[in-house]
Amino acid sequence: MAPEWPIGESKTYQQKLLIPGTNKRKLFGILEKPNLPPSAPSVTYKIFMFGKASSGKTWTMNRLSGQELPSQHIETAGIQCSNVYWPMKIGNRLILFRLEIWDAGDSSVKRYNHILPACREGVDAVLLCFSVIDRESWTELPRLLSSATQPADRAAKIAVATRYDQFSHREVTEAEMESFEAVHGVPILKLGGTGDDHSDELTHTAPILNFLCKRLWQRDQELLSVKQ
Amino acid sequence: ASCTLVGLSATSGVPLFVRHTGHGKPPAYALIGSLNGIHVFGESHGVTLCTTRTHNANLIWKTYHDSIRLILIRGSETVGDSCDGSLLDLMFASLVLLLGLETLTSATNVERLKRDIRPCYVLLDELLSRAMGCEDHHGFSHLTGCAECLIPSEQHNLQNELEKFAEGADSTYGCVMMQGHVLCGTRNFWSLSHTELVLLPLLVASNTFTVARDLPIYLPNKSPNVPFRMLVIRLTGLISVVTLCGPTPTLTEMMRAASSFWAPSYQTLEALSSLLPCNISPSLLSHLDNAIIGLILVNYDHKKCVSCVHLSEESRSRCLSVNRKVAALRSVYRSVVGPLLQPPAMPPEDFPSRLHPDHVPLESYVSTDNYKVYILQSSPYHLLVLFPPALPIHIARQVSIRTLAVFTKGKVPKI
Repeated sequence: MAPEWPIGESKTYQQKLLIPGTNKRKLFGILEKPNLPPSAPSVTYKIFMFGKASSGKTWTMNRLSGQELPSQHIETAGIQCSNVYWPMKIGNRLILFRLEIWDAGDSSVKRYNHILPACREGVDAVLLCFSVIDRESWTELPRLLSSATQPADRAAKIAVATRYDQFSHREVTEAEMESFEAVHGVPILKLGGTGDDHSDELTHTAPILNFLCKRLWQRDQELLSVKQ
Repeated sequence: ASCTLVGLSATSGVPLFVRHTGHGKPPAYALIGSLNGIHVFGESHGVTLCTTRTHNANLIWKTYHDSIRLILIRGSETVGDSCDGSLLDLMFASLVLLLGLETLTSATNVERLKRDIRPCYVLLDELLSRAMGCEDHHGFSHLTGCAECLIPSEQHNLQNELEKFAEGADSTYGCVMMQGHVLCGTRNFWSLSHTELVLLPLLVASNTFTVARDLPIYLPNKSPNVPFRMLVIRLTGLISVVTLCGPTPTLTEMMRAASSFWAPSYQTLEALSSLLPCNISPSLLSHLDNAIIGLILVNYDHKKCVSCVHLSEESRSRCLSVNRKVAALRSVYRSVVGPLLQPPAMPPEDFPSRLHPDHVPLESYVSTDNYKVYILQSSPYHLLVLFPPALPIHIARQVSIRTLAVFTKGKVPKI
């Protein structure tokens, strides 16, 4: 049995993710990574954003990576990937999580058959997106749940409700979402515009990233214990 | 000021998309219908409606392959001109770039076509913003028809590395880009057409928040019906490497290959960020005269252009902001290159013939209250130099001639 080490965030090292002198997160190129002590190991997880057009996939990806949020919906062309670095403390050890997020545009997925397999291959978690102001994207959710991954991946599944701040246009009730979570065992992350306070995006996003990293780590532990 | 692009199906008149920048709202559905109606009316009488001007707008119509009609509406004080025709050509080419010519022109399902066109909005919006002179949309490639470049101090190493990297990815078309400018390209990359060299960097620069992309694209001139996969890998915060590939390598393989291949060059790549915002290596910059406050150099043979609007920032000529310098250079380019000097790289078919068939103009200048621009032509170059308004023109001429020599003679990296 793998021991249950406490897993928590590392506020000190979160500062290393920022552009010096600002509180905006740096966009690290593929040759770069945050300046953490070299002894801290790095773990990579592949996450796939899945959902119909305009369900908020690209918005969510940018929210997680701390980049500028799109102000209007422009459909994604092809596949785009973001790296989200997040330091966590597991037991006493500092570990750098790298979340490699894959996002593909709906029409590209339909037109080109190499795109979906490339996104799904070796995936560790799937974020199923739906918009709370679009009823159709909610009713699609169960179907997305079953078609998102191959069972062999045993990918962690998490649903993301986007545009949660738009109360007046909401077409999905809280009760429905709670019932979904209970029935399918899939947690729903609720994301929406953070209002005009753009200054401290890291503090707003930290809980979501902590949740994701914990979930991914737990899945790893479960898979390891199954092997044994 | 505002600028609107309307796309319609030429056969059925159904609007496919409307993109709008600037003040006011985009035109209503009914208005779009009328705009198309006038064109169709003309056609039925054997007349092709090209352009028109109203109280407060300039309009230009252009039909492509008898299936897509584009209408550009400029609602502003600035007069539209022949460059608008080239702009529409670029916008049509943007549609081909992401959809393919076949899909675009022989679409049977209009709703599906409308959905498929949506990813093109990014490029169309960028071109519209440039046409309108929006802040922070600096760039001259849409006017010159050449790729917007940087002149680093040492080109050869990066070039060799890129050729090796592209070969490893089974690709002959590759380039390294920094913030929308091309740092270097493989030999075959420079064999792409003017349109392709203008649009590909725009497409790469349109996405600033991701670390890797796999985009199916169709080269409008070289391969309008067979797609390539454009793989873009962001190596550092500012620099990306782009390759046009076939079915292999996969994006995952490419990310790994790029990490290991370019890791040794990390310091070199980081150091290149000092080229911004001037776009020209410090050693070349040091040879430029202090009077110069902005310039554009175009080499039409090599399909490259380089511009700099951050010169002499500290000097007395604080009257012109960066945006106004860009506007000045663009306005002079549009009015002089083509009508007076050798036509730009992508002349539209309805281009007016030269003013004087017996004499080839070589130099020109524009003098206004706020600036002076001296323009030199010396095949295959055009050089436009921006000066403060007080500088006497004969001095501007001498400085411009010296400047052209700085860029073209001696052992300097050339464009």
